[in-house]
Amino acid sequence: MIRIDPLLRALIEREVNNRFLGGVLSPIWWLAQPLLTLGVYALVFGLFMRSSVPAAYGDSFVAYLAVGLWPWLAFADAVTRSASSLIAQSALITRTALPRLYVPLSTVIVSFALNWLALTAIVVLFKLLGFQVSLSGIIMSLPAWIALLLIAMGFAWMVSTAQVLVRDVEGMLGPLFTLLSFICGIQYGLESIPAAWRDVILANPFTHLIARMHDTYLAGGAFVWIDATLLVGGAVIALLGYAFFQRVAPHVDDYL
Amino acid sequence: MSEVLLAVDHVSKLFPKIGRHGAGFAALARLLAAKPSSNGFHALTDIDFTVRRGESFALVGENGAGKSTLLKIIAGVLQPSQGSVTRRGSVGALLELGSGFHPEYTGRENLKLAAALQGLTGAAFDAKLDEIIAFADIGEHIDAPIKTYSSGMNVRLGFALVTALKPDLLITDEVLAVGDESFQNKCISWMEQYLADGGTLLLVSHSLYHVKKLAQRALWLDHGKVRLHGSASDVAIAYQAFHEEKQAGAKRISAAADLTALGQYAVVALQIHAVNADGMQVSGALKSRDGRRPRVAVGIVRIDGTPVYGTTCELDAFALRATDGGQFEFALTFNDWRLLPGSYKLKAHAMDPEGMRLYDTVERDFTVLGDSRELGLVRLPHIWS
Repeated sequence: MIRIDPLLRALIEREVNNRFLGGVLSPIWWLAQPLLTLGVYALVFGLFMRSSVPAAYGDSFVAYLAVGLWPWLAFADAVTRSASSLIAQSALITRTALPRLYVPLSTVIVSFALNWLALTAIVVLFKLLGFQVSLSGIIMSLPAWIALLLIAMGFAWMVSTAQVLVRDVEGMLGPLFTLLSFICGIQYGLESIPAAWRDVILANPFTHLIARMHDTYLAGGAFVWIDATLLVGGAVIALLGYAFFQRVAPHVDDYL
Repeated sequence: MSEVLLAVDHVSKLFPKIGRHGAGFAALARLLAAKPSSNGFHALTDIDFTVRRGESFALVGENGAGKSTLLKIIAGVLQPSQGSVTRRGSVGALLELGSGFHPEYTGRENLKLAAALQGLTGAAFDAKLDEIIAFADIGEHIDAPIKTYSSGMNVRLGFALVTALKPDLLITDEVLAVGDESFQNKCISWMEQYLADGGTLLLVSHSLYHVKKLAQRALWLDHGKVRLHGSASDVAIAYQAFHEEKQAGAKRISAAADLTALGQYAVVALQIHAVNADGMQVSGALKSRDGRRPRVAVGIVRIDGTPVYGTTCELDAFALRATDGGQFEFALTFNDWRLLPGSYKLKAHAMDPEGMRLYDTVERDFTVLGDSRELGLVRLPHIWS
């Protein structure tokens, strides 16, 4: 059993409470928001633009969209929320010796946990409804999920500290993530992109992560070597983020 | 000698200058390159002291002197720009009002995180919770959000947590300034018991009474620098004298403005030349409009106005010396006066030549330094048998 520092656990509990207790719609918003995004994308890309699903992944565009979208939203949500986390918790970090690493970390963990649970429930629901999904994907996708989590941690540590000094960072994340989400194969299969541009899309590491989600959840794919590569890449980004944080975070009080 | 629990080693703190649009990329790049900021506000300069186990240590100083910044560095919240802080044993810190409480959460929920921050978790926390809530004595409010609390209730909760933790080193910042008198007394008696049990205390207080009562040693911070470091009573007296001097300066200005409106007889100069535990030397000058020789009455009162002693030149059959400038001078020496350490006022009154009417009063504050635990105004000779 992994022992979690009681302080991190307390911060995670608070983060969960914050998300569920905020407004009237908070208890359902964490599920409703991705579902709405899913609905919008399904309408635009599935119905209007007739994006095709690669043959190996069955024939349901909604299922194809869902298994790529939820991991991406977990990542984008985790990093965007983390950006303002140190500023939001300034009362705590400027008055207590709270380990600052935990503040963005708890945000990332909660975003991933909620979105993973949501997708797991939806995959089970799809299965019951007769869509072509593979329940083994819930386990087989874990390396890709963990790699994505590691990347999110690295980014979260960087943007949360950078945001304290340069308050425009959070604002830049929205357009950046929108762009990234459109060039990693969430809303369409790679086949529908002109060959000349395919290399650009493949150069985006997130394309490979999303592809692993499709492989595992939709085609029953097992663990493959690329999982290890993605995990190593994720770990490197997490370590870079950690080093960045350790340099900057001890001094954020001067700017809060 | 007991072990050093806290060593503050030549600590300096510079707050970097921040423009209207935040710190910017340059500051971020500087932090990443681990280059120290060169311009900004020097909040602390070369602070160096140690606190040993069982000691109680106070920080005094005016607002903005750097006390809270120093406490934050000591508590590990802020990083010093230069120097280092070494802590041993458990440290409990009550920094500012409601240290790190979240306004949306209840007292009970906030206690849980605050306790975890101080290392009290799980079953150990549950076991102490009733004790903490009992000490805070805020009744049903414990389950209401902190945002509904008064400042006094906030401090009660924070202090109650500390009582349960009993850290090796307790750091408190102005907590005694808030809260009602009965809770203050409760806190002070707890702190006295904590010290009696071998606890170590580092407190910031504007109340010199608390400093003298609770601390053995003290450090006076002035504009981020050490002005005086010594026994709590010496520092307290010097700090009080500094304030009195500041107030007297303000009075002198108003006294000068009043010179034009003086009456028939007036005190135009009053100086204290030397003051110590044994006596004082005073000199002064009076003005007389009609050229007749006025009389002077001199008195000493405690800072709160309690009379200590008074006399007149008439009683001692002394006539003021006329000067070439048309003034009348006197010099007065008090010797072997047995005044206890503390703050006093010297008063000089101009009187008519008949010694019947009092025309003018000039005051000077002074302090008798010393380390005495006797009570009252003067030391009365006595013999125990």
